[in-house]
Amino acid sequence: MSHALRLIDWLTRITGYVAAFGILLMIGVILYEVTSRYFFNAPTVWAYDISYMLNGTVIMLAGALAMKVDQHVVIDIVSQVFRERTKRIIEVTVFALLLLPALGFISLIAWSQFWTAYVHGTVETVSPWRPVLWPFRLMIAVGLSILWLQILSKTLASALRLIATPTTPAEGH
Amino acid sequence: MDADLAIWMFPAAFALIFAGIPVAFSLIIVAVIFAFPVFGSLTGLQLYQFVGSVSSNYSLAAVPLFIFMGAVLESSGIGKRAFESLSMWMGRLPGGLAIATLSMCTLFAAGTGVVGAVEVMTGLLVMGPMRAAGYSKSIISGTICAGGSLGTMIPPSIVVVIYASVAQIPIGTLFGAVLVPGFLMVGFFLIWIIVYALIWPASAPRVHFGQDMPLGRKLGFTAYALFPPLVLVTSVIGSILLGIAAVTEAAAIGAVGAVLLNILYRDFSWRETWNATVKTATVSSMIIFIALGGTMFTSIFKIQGGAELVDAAVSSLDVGPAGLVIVLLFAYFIAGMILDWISAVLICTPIFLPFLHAAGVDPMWFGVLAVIMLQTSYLTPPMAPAVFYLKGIAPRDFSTLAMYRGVFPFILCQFLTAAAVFAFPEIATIIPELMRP
Amino acid sequence: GTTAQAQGRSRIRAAHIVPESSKMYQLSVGPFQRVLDIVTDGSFSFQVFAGGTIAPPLQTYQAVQDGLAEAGMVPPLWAVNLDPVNSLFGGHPGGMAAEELLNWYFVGGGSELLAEHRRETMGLHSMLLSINPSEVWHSHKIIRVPEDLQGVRFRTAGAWATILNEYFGGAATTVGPSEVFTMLERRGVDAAEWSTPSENLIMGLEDAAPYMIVPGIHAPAACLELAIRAEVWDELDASIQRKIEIAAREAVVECLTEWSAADLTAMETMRERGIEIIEMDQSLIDAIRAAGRDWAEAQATERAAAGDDWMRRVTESYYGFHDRWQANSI
Ligand code: NA
Ligand code: NA
Repeated sequence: MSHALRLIDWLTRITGYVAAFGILLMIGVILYEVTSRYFFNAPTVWAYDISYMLNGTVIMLAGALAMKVDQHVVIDIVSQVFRERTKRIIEVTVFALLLLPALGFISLIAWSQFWTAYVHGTVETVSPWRPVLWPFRLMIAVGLSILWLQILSKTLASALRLIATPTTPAEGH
Repeated sequence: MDADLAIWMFPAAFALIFAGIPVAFSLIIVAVIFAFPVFGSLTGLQLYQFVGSVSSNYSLAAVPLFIFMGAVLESSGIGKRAFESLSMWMGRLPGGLAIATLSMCTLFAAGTGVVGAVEVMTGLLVMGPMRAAGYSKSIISGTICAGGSLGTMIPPSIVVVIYASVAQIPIGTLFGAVLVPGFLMVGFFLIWIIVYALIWPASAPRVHFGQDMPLGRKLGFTAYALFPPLVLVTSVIGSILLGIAAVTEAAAIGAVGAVLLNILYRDFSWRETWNATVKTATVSSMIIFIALGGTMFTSIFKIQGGAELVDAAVSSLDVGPAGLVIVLLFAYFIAGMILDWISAVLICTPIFLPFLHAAGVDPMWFGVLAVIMLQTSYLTPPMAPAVFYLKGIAPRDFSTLAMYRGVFPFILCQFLTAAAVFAFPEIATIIPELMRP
Repeated sequence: GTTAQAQGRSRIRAAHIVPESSKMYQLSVGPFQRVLDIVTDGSFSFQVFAGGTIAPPLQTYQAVQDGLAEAGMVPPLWAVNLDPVNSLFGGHPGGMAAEELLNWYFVGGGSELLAEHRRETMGLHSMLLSINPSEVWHSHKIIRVPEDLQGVRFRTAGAWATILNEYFGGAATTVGPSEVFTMLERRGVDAAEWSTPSENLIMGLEDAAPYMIVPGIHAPAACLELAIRAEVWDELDASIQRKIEIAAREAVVECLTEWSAADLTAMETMRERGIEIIEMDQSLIDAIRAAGRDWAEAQATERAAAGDDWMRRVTESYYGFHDRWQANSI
């Protein structure tokens, strides 16, 4: 169990770092385009597509790491008055019964969309460069899946702690 | 379709959000649940389409780049030198250190698109000197929070990028349009600080920094401290306004510029730059996941008949175009009190736009007003990110109440700015007019 | 469920590609719905969702094929990368202008080819829903003859981007819709095509660059089709099918005439605002016509070699009609 959780954390960190590299790459691509268009009057046919695909890749791959480091915005103006245990119970329940199925559902579709694009060699709809779509769709599927695993790992860890720490007298009724 | 279902989408989303579930996931969960009655087994496919389109949005690529720029500047010594040189010149004015703080916030607001970076960096630098000089907790808090919130009013700004891409108006033009209102707001902030310092001189005393330094050295240090960040800032905004680069491209120029400045000033470290990059990835992901949740939520809300619902509600108001603008801005204000700004933009804007169009309201002018309202969301309780950031860095004896007391007059200044733009739309339209060749 | 119910269907869920407030929406959906309501006595209707509601606009064909919507109102030009026939169906560079295209669709065999192509290759039943008139260019450079296009940074997309680069030495640049105005205004690009004068006026392109170059021969016309999933269409009563066709035909005519009228007004407004209108030289028109035709022939050969005869068939029908029209129209 803890091996699995550690593996998930490791995957999360790796994809997060790949995402960070993606940002640097994106900066390079965009600067190349600006230089080439402005100074050499020669816009590239590929920079636009590559930039948005890199951005999408960054966003999707960093989703799990954002979850792990609690970067996702939480509005706690109401929930801060709940007991720690109550908060945890709500979180575990919503994550297990609603979020994991919802995201899991979308992740499965992401994989099937990647596969369809790969098998058919689908190209970008309007781009004059006509890049194939499957690598980008693959990144989306990978990002969503690792986010799903990270949420699963968080839910399991919370649930285990709930079971391990019985209700204290001060909290019980 | 079934209007009864649309009605329940907002309560469902708010229940999850207030139960402490991350905003992005709350919106996604509600979208999935309410999509089922319409799309059945195709629900996942329908919502996946928006994952594809949001992550393929070229304009949104500006978001990580502006965040990166701020994160790199934050990790440098540029802020420290800027504050030292500014307080050297301004310290002797009434409320001098507060004025220097606000000037520094304005400078750095022009260098980054997000609020947290400006506020945390400035706060850490100025809190010590200001307390030592005898400034009151409320003026310290107010200045830092309000100064930090300028990150969204002075271009570049993520709020502007997201708002413009949702409202489908040119991002560069909206950048130009918020420029004068942004500086007007800085002006109102300054006036409040000076008024405060004149009424309660003991709570905002004058200070004398670097008095014994000869003028030549003073000028030299100022040039050393301020000139390079000014060059960076003007090159980003300049390349947008002069058409050398589109907004996303200008953001990339700024990102590299920030790193170059760090190298030039010997502040560069591989580790800090890498940490800034990783932080940028997670913060951008968080922001765009909310955009994704919001897009899914809006799609299903409309399909479930929500558009007709809002239509009926707005039509029943019968207030005319000016009244409509005020009502919608008030809605942004309320949304900004209880939500974060991205959720406020993404939930309100797509629903409001058709009414503005029908009423013949200038979308650029309204965009400026909306950005000002969204900026108040940083300061208004109960959900006040600027105050939360400050709590994170302030000494223990700063009470939340003192912070809110200090912030309140600055919220009024923001309202004053909105009122000015409302009464004199030229304040918003002048730069876009001048930008035309 | 979303599957078609054979009996008693009275409504079709359709995905459009633009917001309700846009002219393209109003001039296509407006007359279509109105006429359909009259001819069916209100017993049958389309529930049309604005662009981006059911699916992102660029995914509209896919959304109909997947069953998210039962119908789409969508420009064939968005599927050119998928299949080059869509350039001919949707508004071909150097090809037929609106009136001519209308005739090809209605009496020259275009409608039948579109329906057959969609059914065979995409599982859709399609008909023409709207045509709008010629687009124009807004430019910082005077472009009159083919040589003037050399090295021009031109905001465009689709087949014209390819033709511009390959035949004229231009530098086609991709710019997102929200940045077209800004990039042209600040000379990030030298020239841009967006839409027809009345649409460009809404975007303010007359303020972004000093010259307007006509005719926009790169897009002499542009279409929307009404694409309904084949099994949904087949389950409709023959009389309902006929009534939908009548409504669509009415929409085509109304859209074209209303849009042309709006363009006339827009041209007057732009002239008043001092834009300089440059008429391109016949040599440039001829060159773009020849390049467009050459591109189509090359695509036809390439596709035929890969065992797909559609591009060949459509090209022959299209240019066969075009030649007759050019030779004989008075
Ligand atoms: Na800013
Ligand atoms: Na707030």
